[in-house]
Amino acid sequence: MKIKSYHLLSFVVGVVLFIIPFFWLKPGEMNLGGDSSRLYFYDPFSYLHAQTLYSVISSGTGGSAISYYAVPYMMLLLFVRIFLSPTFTISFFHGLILSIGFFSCYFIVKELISAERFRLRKFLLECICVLAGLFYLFSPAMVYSGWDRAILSHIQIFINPLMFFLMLRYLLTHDKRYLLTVLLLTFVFSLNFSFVGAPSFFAFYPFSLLFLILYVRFIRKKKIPVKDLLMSAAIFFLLQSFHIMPHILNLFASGSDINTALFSDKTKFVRGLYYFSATAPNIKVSLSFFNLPQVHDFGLFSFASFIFPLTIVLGFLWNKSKIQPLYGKSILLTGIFFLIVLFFVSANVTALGLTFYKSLFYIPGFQMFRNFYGQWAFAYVFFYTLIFGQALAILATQLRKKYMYLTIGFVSLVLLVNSWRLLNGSIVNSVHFQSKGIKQSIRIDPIYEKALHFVESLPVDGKILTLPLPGPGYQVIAGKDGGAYIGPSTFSYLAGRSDFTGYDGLNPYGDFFLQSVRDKKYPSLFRLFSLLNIRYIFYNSDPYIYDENFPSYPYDYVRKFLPKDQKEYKDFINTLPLEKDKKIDFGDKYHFYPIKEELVFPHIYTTTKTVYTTDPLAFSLGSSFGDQQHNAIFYFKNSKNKTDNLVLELQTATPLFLLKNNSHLHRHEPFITVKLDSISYPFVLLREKFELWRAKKNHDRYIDFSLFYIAKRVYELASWSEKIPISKHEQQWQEPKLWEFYKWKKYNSWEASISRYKYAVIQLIQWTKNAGESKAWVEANKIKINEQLLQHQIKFMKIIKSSNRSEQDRAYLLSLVNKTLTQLFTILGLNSYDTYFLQYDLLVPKGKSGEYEVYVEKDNNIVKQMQQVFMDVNGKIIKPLKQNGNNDLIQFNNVAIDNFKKEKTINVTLHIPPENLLKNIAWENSGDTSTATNAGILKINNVLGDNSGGLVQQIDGWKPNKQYLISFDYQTFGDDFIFKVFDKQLKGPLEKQINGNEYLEKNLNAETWKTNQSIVSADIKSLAGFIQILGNSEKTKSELLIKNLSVVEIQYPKVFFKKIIGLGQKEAALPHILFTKINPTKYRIEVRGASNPYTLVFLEQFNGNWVLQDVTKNTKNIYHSFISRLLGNIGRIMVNVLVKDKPIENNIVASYFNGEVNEGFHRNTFLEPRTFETWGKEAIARGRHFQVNGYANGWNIEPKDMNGKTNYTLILEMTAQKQVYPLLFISFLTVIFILLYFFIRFFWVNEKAN
Amino acid sequence: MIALRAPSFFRSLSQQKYFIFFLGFLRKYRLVVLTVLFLNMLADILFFVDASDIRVYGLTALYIVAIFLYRLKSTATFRLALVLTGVMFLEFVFTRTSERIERAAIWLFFFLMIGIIQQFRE
Repeated sequence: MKIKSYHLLSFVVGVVLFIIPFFWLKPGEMNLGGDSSRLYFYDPFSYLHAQTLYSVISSGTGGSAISYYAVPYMMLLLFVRIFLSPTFTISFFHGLILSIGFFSCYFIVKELISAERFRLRKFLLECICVLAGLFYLFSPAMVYSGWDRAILSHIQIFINPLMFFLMLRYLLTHDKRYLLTVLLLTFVFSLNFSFVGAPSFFAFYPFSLLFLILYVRFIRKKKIPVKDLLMSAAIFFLLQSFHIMPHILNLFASGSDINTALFSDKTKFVRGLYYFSATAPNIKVSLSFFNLPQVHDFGLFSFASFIFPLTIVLGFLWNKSKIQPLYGKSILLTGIFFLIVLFFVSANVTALGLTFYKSLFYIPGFQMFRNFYGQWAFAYVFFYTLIFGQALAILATQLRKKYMYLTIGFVSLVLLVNSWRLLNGSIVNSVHFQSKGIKQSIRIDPIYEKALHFVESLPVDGKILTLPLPGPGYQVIAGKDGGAYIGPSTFSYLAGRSDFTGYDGLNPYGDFFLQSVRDKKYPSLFRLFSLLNIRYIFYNSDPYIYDENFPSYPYDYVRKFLPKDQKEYKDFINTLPLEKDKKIDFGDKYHFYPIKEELVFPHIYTTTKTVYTTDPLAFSLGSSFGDQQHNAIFYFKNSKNKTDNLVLELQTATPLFLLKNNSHLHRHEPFITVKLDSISYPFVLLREKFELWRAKKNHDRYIDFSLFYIAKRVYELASWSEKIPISKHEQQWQEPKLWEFYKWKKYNSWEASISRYKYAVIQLIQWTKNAGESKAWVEANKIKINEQLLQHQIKFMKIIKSSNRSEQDRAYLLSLVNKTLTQLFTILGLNSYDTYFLQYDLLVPKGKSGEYEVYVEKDNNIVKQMQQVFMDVNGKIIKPLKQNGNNDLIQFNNVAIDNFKKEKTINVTLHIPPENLLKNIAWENSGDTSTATNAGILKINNVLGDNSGGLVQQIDGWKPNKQYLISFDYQTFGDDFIFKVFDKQLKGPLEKQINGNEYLEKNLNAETWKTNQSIVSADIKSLAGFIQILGNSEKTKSELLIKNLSVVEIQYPKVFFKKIIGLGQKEAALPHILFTKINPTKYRIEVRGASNPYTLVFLEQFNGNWVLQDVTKNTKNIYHSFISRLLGNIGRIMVNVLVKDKPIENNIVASYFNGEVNEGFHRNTFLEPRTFETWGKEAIARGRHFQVNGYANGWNIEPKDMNGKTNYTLILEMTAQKQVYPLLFISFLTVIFILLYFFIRFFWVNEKAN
Repeated sequence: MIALRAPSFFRSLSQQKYFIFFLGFLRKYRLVVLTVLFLNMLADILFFVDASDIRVYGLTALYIVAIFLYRLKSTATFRLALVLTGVMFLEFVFTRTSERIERAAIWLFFFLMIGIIQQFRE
């Protein structure tokens, strides 16, 4: 093709688009952070080495993950970084995205339009194609697609249209160069074709390929080269095998990432459908048509976007006109695909469409589209571009030249306004969410770089805890000249050192850590440091990253527990068990504190102190059973031997325990839209029934839905109170049948609503009783229903009392409501709660009969009333023994448990007399309206609508996060009173303001003595609790008698049954070990003196793929063993050509537990001939590999596992990593073959022919 | 039970004749029928509080019947789509994101879909 002068326009635009990003960042600046960290731009080599090459998570407690899909892209970055600085690398890739994205769309639209043979001037055609390219890039979906902290798959902006263009050219010309280029590009940008890139892949490629095939076959009438396409699909699979195959191999392995993502109901519905259902109502079809952003504000001139749908409609209207009678199907085909993708991007095309969309979530994997408007946006804008370009061309055939140029000018202006924030770089340079103007782009502080190098060079294995701790697993670092990095740990992603950078990263101990800091439970906290293998605390004392600059995100949740500012943080650091003399400072902001040596646990250790218990996580942190030095806590069901040390923790079976999160006080405030006399109201009821039917398998959800729908009946009356008639035919009213919907007017009356309300509550009560759940669950839900009825009672009274109806009608309605509620309370039949009896369940595993010691967690109340405390174990009463010493546990008499054929649950009741927190009852006036004549008689002046008056009593000894039972007897002589419980809490920025918070509000009305009981769990931020009594009568003064007022803190002390094992358990001699880290997926362990069974503990997230291997023994499966060893040997020989084995050094760099455990100099070797030493070798103790300490790996190793040898070498390896080497080899080999074919076919052969 | 009786004028016609008469009536008053149909669509956008699938699918079905009955061309459908685009624009200018603009967008979606299929057939 000859280059003409009119081509200059597209060339200039493309070049300008490439250059623009170079002005976005100042020299040295980088826009790093976000979920993908983007640290690969800063240092791709370190990133590749620390993160991408290994199948483990390099931060927190670890775990398995596949991240090598990014290996080719990282290699490309490495290549680019040879020539460019990090800033220029970022700008270069931004420039590529813009210019290649533009050129691809430009050429595609040009191809589509040219084929239609419109009679257009060349320059006009050029302008239209350029405009289409700009439309693609500057559509709001692209502008707001996350340029500031772009994730890896963001490059789809240019990959998608580029692939489409190359495939289009291939299908039209059958020139294989296009196809081979496509295949090579899929390899280089394999992350877009990986598991993490699945949403963008499935949103774009299936529809695009279908479009191309239909377009080429039926519009351009060309043959589809099916064989070539099938062949290229196979090559594509080979190219991507290094990251696709591990997923395919694990597809049906229960519990694997891919299996969970595709088949787990939790993923499908909780993460998928429910998230979709919550976000879908906010997405507008109209905004998609206007091509405006969905969840962003749009500017003042957004109405100008009207030009886009207008152009499309006019394009269709004028399509197939007299000017080009034979053509016009191209825009129609594009139109169909445009509408299909519009449906997927907006979801709200009628209620039926939405229901259909929801049903798609039942397809395995479809949950990846839960954030549908973001994931389909790229495909949508692409098809919008195609249709817009073609529509513009049709317009050009109809409009006069000057009007057409005016249109082009106007569209260009709209696009320019839309994209101005991107063009001027302010999107890339935006500020952090909820911060005080802190920029996202930063220059890395050179002093911090030194700290980073220090971490990288640490010779020993061991983890870091980074403080101040944010909420998400992010690290916050200030830039050299302002700005801040907020993203995954730089220590983990660049220095290859496991780092705990946030509350999320501390999982499964996140909550425990926060609560321990808040409650100052330092021994448990220090124990946590040991269990998590934390060796250093990295404290960033810079006020810039914590105090006023970030009042909320990313610290909003954790600040409720942790120090509020850096000043408090310094005090907190001083309380930690740190080697302060050995502190290493980098400047005045970055400080590394080694943890005290006696607290440091090595990454790998051996022990003979094993405990089997019900909750290993809690036990490993807070147990008071003897020595806690480097023991191993297993789940009790893994116990195989009678002599195992068994400690069973009892499960709380008290109903009140299930209500600890105040769920019974939940206020349902439904939004009501359909009137009771609407023709569609019967369908509202039908839909509610359907939703309840759907929720029936999930009992808690069913209860919540039912309570929500019951609340709707009350709020319907509140919404149209005055307009709803009173029929006064309460007895006759019956719900019309579905086929009687002509009676819809009958739904509209107070009696109908109250009857419907009553029926629903009765149904729920009966369902709860017959749900087949535990007694505690039924009781807890009866309390929940009771509390909701009490809330509704107040609401009903407010509706009726504030009504403009006659006094007679109001009295009638009040009596109707009271009568109904009285009936419902009777049917519910809730007994009073008694905190004197605490119920527990003891689950005894099969074969664990015998004598047990019984312990109860020490508590002040128990100690005070020791004489009255006793325990009922299956009818046998046991009492506490005389306490010696300062133990945290109170021992009771021993109990013998009989032998059972199966595991059995035994009911245990602990009797502890409750302690009333209200020692002196002294009511205080709140306002001047009330008097308390003595402790028993309260006289209250009633001021209608005044909620601040009445009498208030502060609760002594109120503590946050504790549950309380408030009870009293009262008599009101028929008058109404309101009883409230509220507290004072810390709220606002930095949690420094004090606000009031109401927990509950109940109506008190009793002619004779009646008992009121309320349960409240104080919030974690609660400072002081209060109860308040207000008048709610129409009289000016009313009197209330009150007695037996008590507030009791409900406690659930832990109860343990410890099996007495007699002489069987004897502490055996422990082997000595020396472990050396080869890389994050491989450790070498030299074991010496292992004459007895022992447990090997590896403090990394439990995963069945971690295996211990004996390199001297081949696997028993001869076939598998032979193949594996053969492949291993081939690998070893091939690698030997490139690199030699590093010598095995037995130098000790750290020693633990009096020399029992030693650590060698750790390194990070990805590939050496010895990498293949474990191929075809036997894994030991596989059936005895269990989770230990609630998260880590533990192996019970017996002498027979090593044929009685006492000195030997073990290799601890993540087997998933073994797949990486051959698969990477296959993929790279395929690339080489493609390149060779390319060269031979198109250069060598051509040259020869010439 | 009282049997339903047609008016005397219709009773004199057989069922087939009644159908032919009805079709003839519809054909004769084409403009009126189409105007009423489209006004119903506009009423759905402008005067109803809630969206209704029954109205949308019912009216769309009637419009498809009208296409066959009156042999409407795709240009007619796209002209109506143009009006809907105008309604959407005016609603957007005055109300930004209201329920009405959403209903107009859904109608536009349906009209584009019908128009494209019509144009393919043509």
